[in-house]
Amino acid sequence: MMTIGAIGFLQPWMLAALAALPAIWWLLRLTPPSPQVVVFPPTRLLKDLKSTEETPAHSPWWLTALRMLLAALIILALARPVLNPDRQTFAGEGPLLLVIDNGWASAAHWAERREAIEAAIDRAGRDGRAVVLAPTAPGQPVSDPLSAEQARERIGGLTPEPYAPDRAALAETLQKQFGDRTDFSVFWLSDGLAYNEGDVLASTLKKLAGDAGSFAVLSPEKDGAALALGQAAGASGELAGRVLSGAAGPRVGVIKALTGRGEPLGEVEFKIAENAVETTARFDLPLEIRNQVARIEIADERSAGAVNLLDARSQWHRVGIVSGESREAAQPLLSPLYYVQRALSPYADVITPTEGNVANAVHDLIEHKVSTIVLADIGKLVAGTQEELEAWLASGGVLIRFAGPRLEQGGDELLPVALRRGGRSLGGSLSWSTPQPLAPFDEKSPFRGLSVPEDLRVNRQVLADPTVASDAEVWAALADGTPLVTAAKQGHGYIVLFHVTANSDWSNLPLSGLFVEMLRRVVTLGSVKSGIETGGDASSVEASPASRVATSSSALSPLQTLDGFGHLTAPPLRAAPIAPDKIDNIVPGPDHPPGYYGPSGAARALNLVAAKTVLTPLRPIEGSTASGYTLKKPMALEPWLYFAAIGLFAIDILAMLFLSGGLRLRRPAVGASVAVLAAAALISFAAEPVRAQESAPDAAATPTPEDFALKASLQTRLAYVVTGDAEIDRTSEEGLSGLSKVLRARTALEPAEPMGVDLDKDELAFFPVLYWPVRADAQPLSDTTLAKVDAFMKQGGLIVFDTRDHQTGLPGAGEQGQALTRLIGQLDIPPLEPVPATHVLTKSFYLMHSFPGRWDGGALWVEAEAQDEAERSERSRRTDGVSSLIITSNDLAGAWALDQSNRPIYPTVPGGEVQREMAFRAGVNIVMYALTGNYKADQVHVPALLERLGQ
Amino acid sequence: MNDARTGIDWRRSASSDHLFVREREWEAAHTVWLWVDVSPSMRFRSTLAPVSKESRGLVLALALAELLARGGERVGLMDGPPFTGRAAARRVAEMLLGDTSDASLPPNAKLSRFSECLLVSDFLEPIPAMAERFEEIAAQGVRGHLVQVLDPAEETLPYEGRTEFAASEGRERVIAGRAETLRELYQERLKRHRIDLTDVTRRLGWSFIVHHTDRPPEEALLAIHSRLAGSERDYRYRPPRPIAGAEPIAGRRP
Repeated sequence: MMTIGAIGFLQPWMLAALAALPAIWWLLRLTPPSPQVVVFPPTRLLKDLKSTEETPAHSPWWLTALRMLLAALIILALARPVLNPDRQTFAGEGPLLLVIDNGWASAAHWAERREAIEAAIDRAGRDGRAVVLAPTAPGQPVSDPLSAEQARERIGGLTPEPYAPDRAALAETLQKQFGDRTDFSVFWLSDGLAYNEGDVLASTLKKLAGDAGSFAVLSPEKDGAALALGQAAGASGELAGRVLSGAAGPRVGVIKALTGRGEPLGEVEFKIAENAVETTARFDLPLEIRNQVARIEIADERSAGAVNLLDARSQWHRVGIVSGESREAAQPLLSPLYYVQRALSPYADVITPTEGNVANAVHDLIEHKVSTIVLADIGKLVAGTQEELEAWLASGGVLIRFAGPRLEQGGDELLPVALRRGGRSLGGSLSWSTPQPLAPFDEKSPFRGLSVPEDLRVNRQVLADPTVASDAEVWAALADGTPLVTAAKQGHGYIVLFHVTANSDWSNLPLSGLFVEMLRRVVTLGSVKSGIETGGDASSVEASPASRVATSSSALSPLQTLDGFGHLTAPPLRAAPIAPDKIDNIVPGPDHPPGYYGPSGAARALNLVAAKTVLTPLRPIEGSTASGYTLKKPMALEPWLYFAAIGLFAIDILAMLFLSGGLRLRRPAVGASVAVLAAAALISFAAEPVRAQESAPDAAATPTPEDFALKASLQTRLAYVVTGDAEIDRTSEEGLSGLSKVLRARTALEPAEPMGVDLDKDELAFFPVLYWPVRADAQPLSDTTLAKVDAFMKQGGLIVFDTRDHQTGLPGAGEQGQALTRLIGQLDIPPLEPVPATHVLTKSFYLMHSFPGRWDGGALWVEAEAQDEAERSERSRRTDGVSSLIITSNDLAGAWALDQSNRPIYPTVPGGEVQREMAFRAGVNIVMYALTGNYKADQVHVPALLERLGQ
Repeated sequence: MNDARTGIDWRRSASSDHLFVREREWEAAHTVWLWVDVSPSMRFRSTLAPVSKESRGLVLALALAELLARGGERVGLMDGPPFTGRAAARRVAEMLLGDTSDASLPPNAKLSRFSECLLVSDFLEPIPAMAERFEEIAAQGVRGHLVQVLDPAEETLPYEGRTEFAASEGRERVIAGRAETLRELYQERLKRHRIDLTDVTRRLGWSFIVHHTDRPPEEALLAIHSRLAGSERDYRYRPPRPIAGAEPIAGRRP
C-alpha cells in the first residue's frame, strides 16, 4: 500500500499505467471525431481536387483532455484509492503498551479515541501481540499483558475521568512493573495537554520501547484540542466565561448558560484569536436571569473541563442603598453611602433611589426587587416602612444597617440587637482606652477566612444593650469582644447591623479591603425574589439562607459531581468531603472530583478551571512518531471514481454528438428561436413608442383628481357612469345634458353640463345622482369599486340603474337583468318594490303615475318602504328616507337626449311627445327626489295637520 | 433551269406566259425525344432548394411534353414510342412512372433522323463517357438539348467544418477537414466540368442550358422552348429592369 497525503492506494502498481497517458494523448489526437456526413452527388468532382488536404483532423483539445481525464480516472480507480487509510504500524515483537490519557481533556473526543484504541487492539490481535493497558488517570492500575479479547473487554469499562491525569504516577508504576523490558510497541493516545509533570512519562515510554519497539504518540489535531471553561473575574459584574484551549487558535464556539435544571438561559460566542490560547466571552443577561445561571458550558464539548459550575457566590445581587441625609452631592467623601457604593458596585447592581423621603425610597427599592437594602444611619423608620421591610425580610431580604449619630439616639425594631442609647467612644483624648482592632472572625461567622488587616481601628461604635436578651449572632467583634457586626434572622432574611458608620467617621473599616469582602459576603446571603437556583439541585430553590450559614462551618460533603463528560451525577464513593476553607484552593482529583460540595442549597462549586489555570500543549516528544487521531474512517474512493468516469463518458458522447452533426441539426432551431426573439423584441420596441404616443396626449388631457373634484363640486352636476360602450356613453351624456336643460328651464336647480364618472378611478361623493346604464355584457366590479359604490349608496347617494331593455318584469330577469345582477349582486341591496302610488317620487316635483323613458310600461323599482318603525327612522336619519337606488328599464337617457338645437334624438315608443314630456318629468322628479329628500312626503300630512289645528 | 419537268405547274403556267415551277415542302410533325435522369443522384435536395433535382427535371419534361403535344409535335421517351395528340403528355407521364432505370446516361436508343432530343440530368458523369454517348446519339442525326439541373448546394458547396461527402451513386467518399476550404476549388472544378460539357455540345451543335432548383421552372422552360424553336440565338436572358430604389437582381448566366 502506498499513501499520498490522506489518500492511500491498495494497488499502487496500477498507477504505472498513468505513464501511458501521453501515448493515449497521442492516439486520441490522431483519432478525430466522426465527421458530419453529407450525401453529395458531385463527390466525384470533389475527389478530383488533388489539393484536398486530408490532413488528419485533430480532435479538439478539450475533447482530448476529457478523454485523458477519463483514462486517468479509470487508472486511478483501478489503483483502488482509499481516503484516510489506516496507517499506524507497530514494530518489534513485544506487547502493545497502550497508554491512554483518560483525564477530562480526552472526554470531548472520546468516541474517536475509543475507535483508535480499538483499532490498535485489533491490529495487536492480528499480530498476536499481548496488550497492556495503561490509563493515565490517577488511581487506575496498569493491566497485566492481556490478550486482544480481554483488552477489548477491559477498555469497555474505561471512561474519561473528570480530573487531570497523573502521568508521573503512571511512569513510576510502569517503571516498577516493566522496567526490565524494552521491546514494547508503545502507543500513547495523549490528550494533547501537558500537566506540569515534565517529560517523565515520555522518557519512561521511550525506554520501554527501546530500539526494537516502536513509540507512537497520538495527539488531537488543532480542532480537536481540549477546551476548558472557567469563569472570568467578574469585575464589572457580568457573567463571563474564560475559554482555554489546549492548542493555539483560531477556534470559535458557543458558551451556553444553563439553569440547574439544564434549561438554556443564554448563549454567547467565543473566538480564540490566532496564536492565542485563551479568550473571554461575556454574557449579556438581565440580573434576574443571570442569577439563575447554575452552570456555563461550551456547547458541543462534552467534558468536565468544558463545564463551569456556579454557586451562590457568583450570583449577582441587586442592592439598594438609602441614606438618611443628603450630604452625598456636596461632600461625597463624607457621605455615609460613598464607601458602600464603591465597595458593592463591582459585585452587585447598586441602586440609589433619588427619592429623599426614606419611606418612599424603601418602597421603591422593594418594588425593584432588591435582595439587599443598606440603610446608613437611619434612626427610626416610620411604622409603615417598618412593616414593609419586615414583610420583605420574611421573604429573604437582607437589611444592612450602619450606625451613626442618629441611630445612636435610639433605634427602631429592625435591629438585631437592642442598642444602648449613646455610643461608645474609644481612644478619645479623655479616655484611657485606645481604638480597638478587630478580633479574628469566628468560625461560625460568614466572614470566616477573611484576614483582618492589622491597622484596622474602631474609634466609636454603638453598643448593644446587654440587658435585653437577644438571639442575635455576632459576626464580627472587636479585640475586646464587643460586637462590631451583629445579625439576626428575620423570616428568611437577615438584619445585619454594623455598629460603626458607613463612612470613615467612626472607624477606618470602610477604607479597608475587608469592608468590601464583608459586604460582599453579606450581600450573597440575600435571596431570592426571582427564584434563584443555586447549585445543581432544583429542589434547593427555596433553601433557607439560615442553613447556608449554620451548617457551612462543617466539612463540605460532595453533593453532586461531574463525570468525565461533564454530566452532574451522584458523587462517586471515593469522593470525600472538603474542609470549607480549602475548597478554594483544592485541585480536583479522584478524591475530590469537580462538582457541588456542601449542603443542598448552599453548595459550593469546585471547578476544574480555577482563576489561574492555563492549559499548556504537550510538547512533541523526541524519538516518537506523532500523528493525529484518525478521526475519519477510511473511505474507498473507487466507486466515486468510476461514477465520475461514467459521467465523463456521458459527456464525451454528448460532445461527439455535438461535434458530428448535432450542432448542425440544432442550428436552424437556434436560428428560428433567435429570429423569434428578435421579432418579439422588435414588436415590443415598435409597440412601445406607439403606446407612448397614445398615452402622451391622454396623460396631458387627463385631469388630476383635484381638477375632477373641483369641476364636480363647484357646480351641481348630474353624472353618469362611463360604461366603456361609446354609444351608450354618448347617449347618457346627451340624455343628462337634455335633462339638465329641462331642469334649468323649469326648476330652481341649474345643473352644469353632466359628467362621466369612471367608477374605478373617480370619486363619487360629489354627485347627488348617478345615472348608470347597464350594458348587456357588464363585468362584475372589483372589490374596491364595489366598496366605493356601497359607500356612495349608504351615504345618501342615489344611483339610477337603467337596463334600457323595456323589461317589465322583476330586475334580474332578462339579459340586462342578469347583467345588473352581475354588477351589483354583491352589494348590500335592500328589498325593492315598484314605486308605490304614494311614494315621494310621484310627487317630488310633478305629480306622476308612471315613469316612462324611451319605452313606456317598465316599472320603476325603488327601495321598499321600511316595514318597522325602527328601520324607517334609521333610514330617514341616514339618507332622509331617500331610496339609495332606482332601477328602471325604460331607457330614460334615450328619451332625454337632445341635440344641439334641442331637438330630440331618439323616438319614443310607443311614441308621442307626451311620453317624452313625461320622461322629462320623471327625470325632474328623480333629481328633485335625490336633492330634496322626503320633505314632499311631509306635505302629505299638511291637510291632516291643518284639520287637527281646527282650521 | 435545273428543275424537273414534272415540277412544272401547268395549271398555273397556262394562265400566263411564264412557267411556274411547283415547289413542295414536306410538312411533317417533329419528333422530340425526352429523357429525364431518375438516378439516385437526382434525388438530392439541399436545404437551399425547395424541390429535388429529379422533381424539377420531371416537371420540366412533362411541361415540355404538354407544350409540344399541343403544338402538334410528337413526343416520346427515348426508349419508347412517340406519342401525339392531347394524351401525349399523359402517356409520357405514365411511361415515366414505369421508368425504373437508374442510369445516369441517356440510353443508346434507336432514334429517327432529324428528330430532337431533350436530355434532363445533372450531367455529373465523367465527360468522356457522356461525350461518347452524345456522339452516338448525334450520329443518328438527332439534335440534342441538354438541361443541366443542379441544386444550389452543388453549385456553391455551402458546407462547413469537418464533413464527409458521400456520393449518391457509387462508394466514393471524400472527407474534408474543413469543407469551407474546398469551396473555391470545387467551384472552379465545377466550372471546368461545365466548360468541358459545353465544348462537347458545341461540337455536336447541341444546346446546353443550366437550371438551378431554387429558380422557378418557367425560366428553364422558356429557354428550352426557344431553343427547340430554333430561336436560341435571339434569346437573351435579360435581367428584369431594375426598379428604382430596389436592389438590382443579379442575372445569372445560363
